[in-house]
Amino acid sequence: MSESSHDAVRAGLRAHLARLWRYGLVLSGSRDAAEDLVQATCLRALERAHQFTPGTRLDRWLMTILHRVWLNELRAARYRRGQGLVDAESALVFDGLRAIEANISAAQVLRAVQSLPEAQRETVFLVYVEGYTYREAAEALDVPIGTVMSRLAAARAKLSALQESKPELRQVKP
Amino acid sequence: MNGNGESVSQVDVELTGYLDGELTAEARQALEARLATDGSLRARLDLLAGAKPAAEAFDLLLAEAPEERLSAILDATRRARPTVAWWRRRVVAAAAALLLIVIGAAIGFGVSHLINPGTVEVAEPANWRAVVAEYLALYTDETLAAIPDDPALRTTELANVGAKLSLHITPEDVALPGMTLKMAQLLDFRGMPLAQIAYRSTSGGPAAFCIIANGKPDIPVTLEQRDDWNIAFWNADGLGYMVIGRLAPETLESLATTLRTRDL
Repeated sequence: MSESSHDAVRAGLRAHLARLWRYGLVLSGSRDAAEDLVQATCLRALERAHQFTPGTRLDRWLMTILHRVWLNELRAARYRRGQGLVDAESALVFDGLRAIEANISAAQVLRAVQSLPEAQRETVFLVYVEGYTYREAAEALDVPIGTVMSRLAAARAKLSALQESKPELRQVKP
Repeated sequence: MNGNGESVSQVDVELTGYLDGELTAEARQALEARLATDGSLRARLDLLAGAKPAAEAFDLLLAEAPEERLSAILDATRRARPTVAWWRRRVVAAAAALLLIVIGAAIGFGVSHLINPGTVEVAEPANWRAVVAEYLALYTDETLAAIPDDPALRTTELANVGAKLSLHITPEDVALPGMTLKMAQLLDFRGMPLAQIAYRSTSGGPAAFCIIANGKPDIPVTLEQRDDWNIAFWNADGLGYMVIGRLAPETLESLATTLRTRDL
């Protein structure tokens, strides 16, 4: 492994730690699991620094590694330990997030997204928060573009139904 | 499919694609023409437009990240030095797997190889495909013929095996032309879960479709030969796949392409 690719990946990790943690939090719904995911992602990324193609987006590469670690390692491990997955409805993601609780409308958005099934939630996050195109999301999640489209449509339909049932949550359209 | 098994209306898919600027020019114009004359379609568009979650809400999560601890985690992470508890468990699992491989290889090669210093190579096999090929060599047509066809049991086996790989696998997902599905079992290669889905091919002889969570980079469908087995293998998003059998390379390649496009 060349030292330069290793150094570049380490620098990229440092620049994107908070974003990786946020992705881990959205996937797992748990702060502890999010930290574990960042740690495993650091390890994997440094081990495979030579596989990173210079000139491509390092942040996207790191996000894909984190997603794969979640699918292959952590999520399975949580199942094995009998902890199951975090019940999204319980919105553990907000434990201790006082700053967000103070911002009621943001908290409502996060809680609504967190209540979506995992596949829809991760797709919504990549496309609407991280700004992936459909094609980029399809590649990152290793699903066909049609699946990305139907996940987003189902998510929007569900979120709109949530808003309908609670009119006070209705957002003003920009 | 939208990740939750429920149906989603094609209209919603189209409107969402429109809102996200992902429709082709042609599809966009066709939809706009319909929107111009269809009030209920416009109402639906407005409803879905209002349901897009605000990215700004997620910016607040960034501020919540434990930056100092994450920085310390990165500083402590050195190449090839696993530090997390669940990584340690994998090391134990890998040691156990290695022992099984040695035992399996001893059976596969016969006792004469045990007194041959060459067995050292066996303990550190070239890769998982070599081990699968050795393992499959123990199967005969009779091994598989003796397993009764039980669709319900196959469904359960596939679900259990898939769960370990975080995949949802049904008999339809792995049905192959000219092959009878005979069993699905979970194996372990150096601590990595390995699914072996075995078939009896109508042309005779065992064949298998295997999946391993090996975290390797993507590779396209590639053909190789090991002993008298032909293998088509590929890697996608951290999972390694292979189809193996005493079949013509072009047959295997076509089976591999079929499976690759099914998006397990």
